Amino acid sequence: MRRLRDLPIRTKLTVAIIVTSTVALTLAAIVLAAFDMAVIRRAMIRDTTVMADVIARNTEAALAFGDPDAARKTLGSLESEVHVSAACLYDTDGKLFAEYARPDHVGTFPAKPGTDGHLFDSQKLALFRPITLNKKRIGTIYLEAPMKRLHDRLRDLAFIGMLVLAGAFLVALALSRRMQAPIAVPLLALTNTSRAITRRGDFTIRATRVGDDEIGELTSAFNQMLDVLAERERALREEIAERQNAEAQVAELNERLEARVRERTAQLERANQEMESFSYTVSHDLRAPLRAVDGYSRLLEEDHGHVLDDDAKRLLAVVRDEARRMGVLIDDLLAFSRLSGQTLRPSPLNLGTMAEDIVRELRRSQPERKIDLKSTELPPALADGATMRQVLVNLLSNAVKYAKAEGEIRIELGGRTDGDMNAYWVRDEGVGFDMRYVDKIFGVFQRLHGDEFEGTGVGLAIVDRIVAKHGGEVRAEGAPGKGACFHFTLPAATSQLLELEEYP
Amino acid sequence: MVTPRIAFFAIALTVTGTLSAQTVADAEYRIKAVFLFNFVQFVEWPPNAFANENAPLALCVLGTDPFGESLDQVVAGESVQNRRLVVRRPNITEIDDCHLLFVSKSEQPRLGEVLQHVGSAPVLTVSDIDGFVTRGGTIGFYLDRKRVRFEISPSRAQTRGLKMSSQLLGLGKIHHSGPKGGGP
Repeated sequence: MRRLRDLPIRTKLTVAIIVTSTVALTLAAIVLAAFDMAVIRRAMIRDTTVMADVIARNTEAALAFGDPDAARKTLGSLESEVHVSAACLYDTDGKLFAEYARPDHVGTFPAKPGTDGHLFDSQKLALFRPITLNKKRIGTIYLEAPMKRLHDRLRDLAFIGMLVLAGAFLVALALSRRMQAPIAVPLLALTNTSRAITRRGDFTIRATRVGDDEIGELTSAFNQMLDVLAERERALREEIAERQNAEAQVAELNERLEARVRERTAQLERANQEMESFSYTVSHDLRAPLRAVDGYSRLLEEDHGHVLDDDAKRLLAVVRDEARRMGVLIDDLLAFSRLSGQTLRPSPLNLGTMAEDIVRELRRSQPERKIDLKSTELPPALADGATMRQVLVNLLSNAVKYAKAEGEIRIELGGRTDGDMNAYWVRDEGVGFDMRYVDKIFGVFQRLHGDEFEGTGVGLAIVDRIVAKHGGEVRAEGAPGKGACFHFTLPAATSQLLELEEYP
Repeated sequence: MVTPRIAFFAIALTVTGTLSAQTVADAEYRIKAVFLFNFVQFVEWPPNAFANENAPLALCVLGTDPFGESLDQVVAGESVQNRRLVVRRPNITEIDDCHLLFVSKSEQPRLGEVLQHVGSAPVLTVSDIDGFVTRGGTIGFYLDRKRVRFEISPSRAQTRGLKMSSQLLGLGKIHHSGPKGGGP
């Protein structure tokens, strides 16, 4: 069975109305019945008393003359009175004198007369009245009235009450159906509205207010809540739209920036390319006139040397020397230019072996100097063999070139692992340089020393460029007359790869 | 309130023959004395029967008094219809202001004379002489199975201006006599 609070309001109202009316009617019926009973009891007492007095009056003589037969005869007249079931007389001694009982009477007469007056029990009304003659008491009359009258009346009342209750129940049911509408219908409407809102997510729907009662208030409050919700939703949507807009703007800005960067990069690359092809072309084209200058100078020396005096010959030698120097310069420039277009093919390298090899060639080209290379155990590097050889050539030949005029040339090659990168250095005991100019040392055509040392100022620039292309860095330190040390870093090679590709 | 006399009377009614003859006779007259008192209570005399408003109601015993003290005891201090009851024992010439006249059995020989003397005066005549009512009396005692009973002639009472209670008539044996009906 469902609990009352789970029942629909419709049913609750019906139950409330019916219970109320039933209780009210039942109370009214009970009060009326009680009142009626009281009235009937009073009537019974009155009627029975009157009857008793009449009988008493008519049995005075019989009592006075001690004639029970006559008294019985008088009592017998009660036969026509259905409301008296039994009666008897007592004499002055309280002895039963005469008695009367209807055939259907049950029970016995009191042995002695009781106190004058009436006494109700559940079955009967018992009444004792005095019998007097000439103001003197000559006996007592006892009358018994059955409660049947009262019970019949109660039964009738109960029956009528039931009929009225049944009728009232039906009327209450019909009325409650009509009366519940003003309460239940607005509530149902409200429920339906809220369901519709939940289902469709539409906050513009509003419940219709009916009446000024609590439900009307509820409807208004509900609508106000919807207003607030709708406003909040609108604000949320706006915020989301703003955010999306801002994001789109940022994305667009990024896109523009990237596009600009790409454009700039392309421009730069193009410019760089143009520049390099320009310098390559220039260098290449400079060779032809230079070759002509050298060739004609040689022809002049060979064919007309015998007519030239010594001074002219010396000047011619200078021209030829300078032309040759310029050729070297152009070769270096071309090498430098080519580097940018060159593809690196990294493989594990043993820089120590490579350095030994290079120093051997240097000794051959300069047999008058004693060159000593001291090399520690070097970690293998992952780098392009051809270009790395160029790096070592440049650094080692620099060490030989800028060595002090006298004595043995001592060069130290070192290296150590430093995470993913290996650090290497080439140290000499040459003339060194001033740290003030360290920034310029790796620039193209930058030369710290004058004509005392031959050079084009391109070698260290090439070193810098190659190392940079490998993802490494170069660094130099030194002091005038105290030698120099050039550091460079390269990506470390794994040991397995080293096993496979030993530098020949 | 229960008076001693009525109680006495009630006991007397149940007296049986086991008692001595004298005692039985005494009991019988005690009952008859009470009856006389009762008759007075159920009979109404006309106003002219009394000399004045305060005149007593006189119960007279004519002839030899068989009641002894009992009648005086029953009536003593009693009053009916606001009239004091008195007991008198007059001779034949003094019966004019009697209201109830009990004719003793001793007067049987001169009953005719007595009744003639009473004439049609408002006097209730009572006696236990056999055939008293037949011979012109109003109420006559008789014994029925040892119970005291009485015979009444309502017409004779009416002739004398006496109103008898219907209850009294209901208790007694009615004797139809007088001007309207023939005697037995």
